[in-house]
Amino acid sequence: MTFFQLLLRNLVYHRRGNTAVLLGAALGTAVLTGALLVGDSLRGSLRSLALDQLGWVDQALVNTRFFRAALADGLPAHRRCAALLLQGSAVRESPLSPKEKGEGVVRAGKAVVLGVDAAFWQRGPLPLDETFWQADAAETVLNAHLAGLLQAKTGDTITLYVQRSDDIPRESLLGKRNAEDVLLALEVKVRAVLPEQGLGRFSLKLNPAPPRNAFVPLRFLQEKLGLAGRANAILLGHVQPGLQEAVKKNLTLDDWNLKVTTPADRARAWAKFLDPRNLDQGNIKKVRWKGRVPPYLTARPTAEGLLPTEEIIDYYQSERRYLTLESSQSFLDPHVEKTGRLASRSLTWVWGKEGMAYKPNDTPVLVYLADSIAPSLPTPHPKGAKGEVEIPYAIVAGMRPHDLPLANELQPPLQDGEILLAQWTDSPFLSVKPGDKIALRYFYPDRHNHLELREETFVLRGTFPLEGRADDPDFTPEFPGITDKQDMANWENPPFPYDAKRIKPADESFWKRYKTTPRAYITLATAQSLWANRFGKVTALRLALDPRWNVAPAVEEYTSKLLAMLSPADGGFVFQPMKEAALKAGAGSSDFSMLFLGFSFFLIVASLLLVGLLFRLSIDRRANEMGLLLATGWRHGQVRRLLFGEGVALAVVGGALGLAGALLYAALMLELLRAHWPGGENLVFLHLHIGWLSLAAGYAASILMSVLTILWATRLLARLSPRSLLAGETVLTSFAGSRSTRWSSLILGVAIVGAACCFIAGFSVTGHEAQAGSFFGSGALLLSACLALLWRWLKRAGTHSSLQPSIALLGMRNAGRHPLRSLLTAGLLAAATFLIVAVQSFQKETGDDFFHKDGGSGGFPLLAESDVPIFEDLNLPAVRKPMKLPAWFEEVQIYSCRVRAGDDTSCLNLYQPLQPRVVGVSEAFIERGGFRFASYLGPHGTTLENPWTVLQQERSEFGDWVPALADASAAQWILKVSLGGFVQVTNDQGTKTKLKIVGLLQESIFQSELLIADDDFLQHFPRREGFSFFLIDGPLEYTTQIQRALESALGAQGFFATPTVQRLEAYHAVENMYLATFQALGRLGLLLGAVGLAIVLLRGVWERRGELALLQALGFRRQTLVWLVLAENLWLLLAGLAAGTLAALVAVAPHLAGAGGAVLGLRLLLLLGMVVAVGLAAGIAAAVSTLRAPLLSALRRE
Amino acid sequence: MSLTVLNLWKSFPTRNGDLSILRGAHLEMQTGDALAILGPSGAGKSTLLHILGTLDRPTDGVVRFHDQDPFALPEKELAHFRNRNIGFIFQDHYLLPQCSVLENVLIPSLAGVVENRAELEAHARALLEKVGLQERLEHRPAELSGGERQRVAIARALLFHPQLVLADEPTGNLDRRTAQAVGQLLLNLQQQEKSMLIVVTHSPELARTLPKQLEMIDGVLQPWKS
Repeated sequence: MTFFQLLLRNLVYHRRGNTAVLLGAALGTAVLTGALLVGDSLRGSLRSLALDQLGWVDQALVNTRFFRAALADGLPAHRRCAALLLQGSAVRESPLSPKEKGEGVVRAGKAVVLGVDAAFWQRGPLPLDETFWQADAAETVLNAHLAGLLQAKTGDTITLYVQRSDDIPRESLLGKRNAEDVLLALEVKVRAVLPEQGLGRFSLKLNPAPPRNAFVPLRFLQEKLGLAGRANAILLGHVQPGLQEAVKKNLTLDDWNLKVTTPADRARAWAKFLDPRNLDQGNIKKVRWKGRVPPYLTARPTAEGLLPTEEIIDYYQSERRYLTLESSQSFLDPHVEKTGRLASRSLTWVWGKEGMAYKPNDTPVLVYLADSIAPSLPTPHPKGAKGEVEIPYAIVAGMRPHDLPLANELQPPLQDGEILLAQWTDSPFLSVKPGDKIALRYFYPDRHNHLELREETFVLRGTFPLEGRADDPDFTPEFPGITDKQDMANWENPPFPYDAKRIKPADESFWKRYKTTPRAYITLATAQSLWANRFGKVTALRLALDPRWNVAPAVEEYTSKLLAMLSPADGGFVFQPMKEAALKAGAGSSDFSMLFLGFSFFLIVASLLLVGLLFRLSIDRRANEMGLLLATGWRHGQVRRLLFGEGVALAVVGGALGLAGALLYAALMLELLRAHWPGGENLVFLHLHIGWLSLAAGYAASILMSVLTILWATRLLARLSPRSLLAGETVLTSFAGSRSTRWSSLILGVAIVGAACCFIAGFSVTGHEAQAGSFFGSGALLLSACLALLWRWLKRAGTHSSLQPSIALLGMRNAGRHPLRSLLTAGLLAAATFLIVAVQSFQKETGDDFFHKDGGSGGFPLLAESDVPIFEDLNLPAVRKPMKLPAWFEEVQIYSCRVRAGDDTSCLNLYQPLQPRVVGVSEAFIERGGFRFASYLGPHGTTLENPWTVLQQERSEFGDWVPALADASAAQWILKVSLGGFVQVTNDQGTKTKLKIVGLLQESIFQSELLIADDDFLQHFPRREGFSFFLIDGPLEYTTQIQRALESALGAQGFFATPTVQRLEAYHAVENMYLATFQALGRLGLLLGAVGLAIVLLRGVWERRGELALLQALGFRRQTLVWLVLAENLWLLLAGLAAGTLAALVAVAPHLAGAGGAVLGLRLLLLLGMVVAVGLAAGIAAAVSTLRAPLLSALRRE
Repeated sequence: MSLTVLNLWKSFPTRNGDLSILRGAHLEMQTGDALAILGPSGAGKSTLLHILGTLDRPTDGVVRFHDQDPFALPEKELAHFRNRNIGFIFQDHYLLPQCSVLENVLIPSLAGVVENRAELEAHARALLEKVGLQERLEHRPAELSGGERQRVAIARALLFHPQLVLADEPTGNLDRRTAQAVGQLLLNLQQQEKSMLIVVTHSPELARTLPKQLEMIDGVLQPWKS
């Protein structure tokens, strides 16, 4: 027989004990590997979900502007699809009267309206057919989730609300902001409902929540939005190299919302203005041009009095000979202006045979519509006071002094603060003279888009006749409804305060002749200081053309140079690698493997302890066998190797069994997540994914830990003599003063002092987690102290003597026969009790002060979001009036915030947030203050009365970051960033903006976003218009009424309000769910501890059969023997429970004293009851076995 | 080979201080000597045996095997010394229940490298034949009587022709007749192997079968007064 054969023989012979060890190892492997598989499953499921949601789309371009759908053509990809992707809401109204039938309106927010054609759907059967998708029917295909929310089915009619398209920025003077101008209602019929799979789940946003998709034919949506042939998104699949180059090559000025107008273009436009319906077929009748054209043209008609368009073109080419770069967005984007000027300077126009080159002079122009220009009267004076003469609705142009039409005549040039006024026949300012004060009144939108009337006073430099270069209505970009009207009185729905009664006949005659020609000039610098905004600083760029040049080649060269120089990224024409991002985000917001390992930690430890305990029991039983081997000349090392080999074999086989258990454990954990995740349906996509690496790692790690445990269990062998082992002794006898007792004294002392310090510290630290940590630490140290005390008792108990010990005392003392075994058992019970209860202290609940201004809600009972941005100030009486709100609503104050859509940074989003959501908070909100800060970076480390002001702190000259606030939990656990750390987000220019975390909010409602000041928001995200995030301050008792009132009034914009307590509870629900998982697994560990206790007791009874038999022979009754066994069991049970409970009480002290103390106390009692029940059951089982075993046979040695 | 024990002391720590079991025991033996040690319970007989067998270490005193102090050897060499020079027979035989009779006899061979395993196995078979168990080679200890188990233990102790055989109450668990048989067997084999034999026993009958008897009184060896 060989060593290996003996090892195998031992394994088989001692199979009962070995099976228990094997099962312990299997359990440890199952839990450890299972935890890793949970991480794999979460990651795998997230990745699968993301890839499933993306379908065939590899890369996507989504822009805030609308461009030609044809841009997609010719891009290097096997699959291409131009689309309109719009955020909105959906409503289904019952056709029956709500009063009669009790059914009302069903709303679903966060809907995505996708205008697509047949190219979007994969090869194979389309939903419906190709004809449907190429047509423009008012019909829709919903995905099952949205249909379910709306309770809609095929044949029902629903209304989709989206934002209307408008090139003019809504947050500019000429922008339209009323709800009726912003919102577009699309009534559509449901043609089909797609299942929750495939492209029915299509989404470019990574979020576990299922998307709410409404697919409509692209043409239908284009038509309704007035965007024929346009799109705001391009989806590509199987992309080939050279994509960005192809994009740049394919872009046209139209895609940039730009146009370069030539003199001929403007001439034709003017001709069209004169004859809008082209009734005169290019020869304009006198009745149309009389009084409307410059003197030059009045001499050009035919004998019949017809003015040919060619004459107008000739006039433009001679008198208005320049190119204009303009935008349909009114202002030129700053980068477009800069590039336009660079492009003009790069031109080399050569003419004639001389080969001379000339570079044009580019002229930036900023025009604005003033409410009035009037001589400045002494203040105060009522508007319209007698003597006040004004020009209403006048165009004012800002130009560089040397660019002015009469610059040559002005010496010195026009200065800032000076104004030049036009003079014409009926001008009311004929009597003004240089030096007079001229008041310029204009409307300018404030931060809430409320048009504020402002006034600026200028010194009149002089007047000029409206002739020559000054006589030019093309300074002003076109604005439908205004510039295309023949009369001022017919201006159509101007977006600024407009009173037709102010328009006098002289104004109409001016309009007739000069239309949008500027009536005043100021310097460009002054104009920009007054009217420049985030959308641009100029409204046009003019390039003068030398008379000797041909216009056509000049236009062509300029256009091509401009397009070559414009960076697609500046215009938002950047494709995002969606599949790559999906895979990256699928790694998850947390390391779920480690998270679930943490949850399972106690269960793993319990199973390892059980393995060690059982193996140690096995060694105890085989002590004389080992002594015999040593007596025959085996070395200690050889005997240990034999045992170790057996242990390794058990660990390996048990581990292999455990791998099967790991699948079950992981499946159970996933089911737990699915069942208890807040908004449970969101995690239905979770499925088991088996990661082979995790299986291997888990297997290896669990074997290693089992092996180390077994090594620890066998270490004592080295210190026992063969004689001791032969005598069956496996315990080193030690007395007071021995090393282990000295160590326990040291631990006891240090632990008690440490516990006291932590307890005291818990009352002074701030922050829920710091406080919980202090008390938890105090409890843990107290537990260590209790166990050290128990160890000392156990060591003494084995040698204690008493003249008349009671049965109970005898039983208790018996625990000291195997002090390590007893300590492990009691310690396991104590640790389980402590952990399960103490973890409760980390449970998050909204505190009593939640609704205080300094609490987590900041004093706001409600917060809201809208799918379609709101451009009006919801606090204005004029805005509230149509909402028909009750009188007490006056107390309600709404703080509106801007949103740059992005990834949710809260624990509700399982994906790793790659582009966090950013919210811009107003100055008023900052000044208001409130909420609770965990920490912040005050200037030079100072303490601030209102920490919100850290968002407005001065940045150093070289600071390239933007101050931001984050919720402390989100920062720590999701973004993995600390105070002073940086988070990068992509801005509207396509570059990265660095957000520096300068403050951390504690237990706040802002876990899902980062907060920056509104100024910074507008600077870095200028294209984000309107407000989509609202904080509502009002009487707490009216919360529900406020919610209903606002949702009813603003429901079409997808306005949904949520009580702030509900939002925080949703975050807490996730965190508490994790805690509950930990506690549930801890209870399993406790159960394991009780099993260990039972095994130890049964083992003890078996070992002491002879002793018990002797007692029986001496006259002890069986019942007395049972009580003897139970006494030991109860003592270990109660010692463990007492230590664990005492430590736990310390850990949860603040909670017991708080409002939830009674509930917590009840939970504690229930838990203790459960532990006592399980432990007693184990003891009774051991005692019953005592009753049943034939003890007297143990008196026989053979 | 000779065995010399000089002034051997052994104390055990107790709650009330060290308890000296051996208090200066002296002993000398030569190859082929056989000795019985008697004495009351707790006198230190087994303690002395365990020390002589290097299963325990003395608190003080000297033990020499042919001028070699085995306790000066490192653990590895001490184990080897014990494996090749000392044979143990215990009152509770300590046979491994999961191994057969032959395997139990060969257990000491697993402690080190054996040059010729086949030869050793043949020797084991021969030993078992000498103790009358040639027909029971594949049987497990549970299938043997008490006397048969003790005979297996004797064969195991003699596997490597030890210089010193120590028997601690070898017949303590046996009936009188079996005890006599086992005792005689032990003596016969000892004479054949020419090893030193020390038997600790309570049995005067067994003690008288050995050429020399000593008595352990108060931790000291004295001539036995039968």
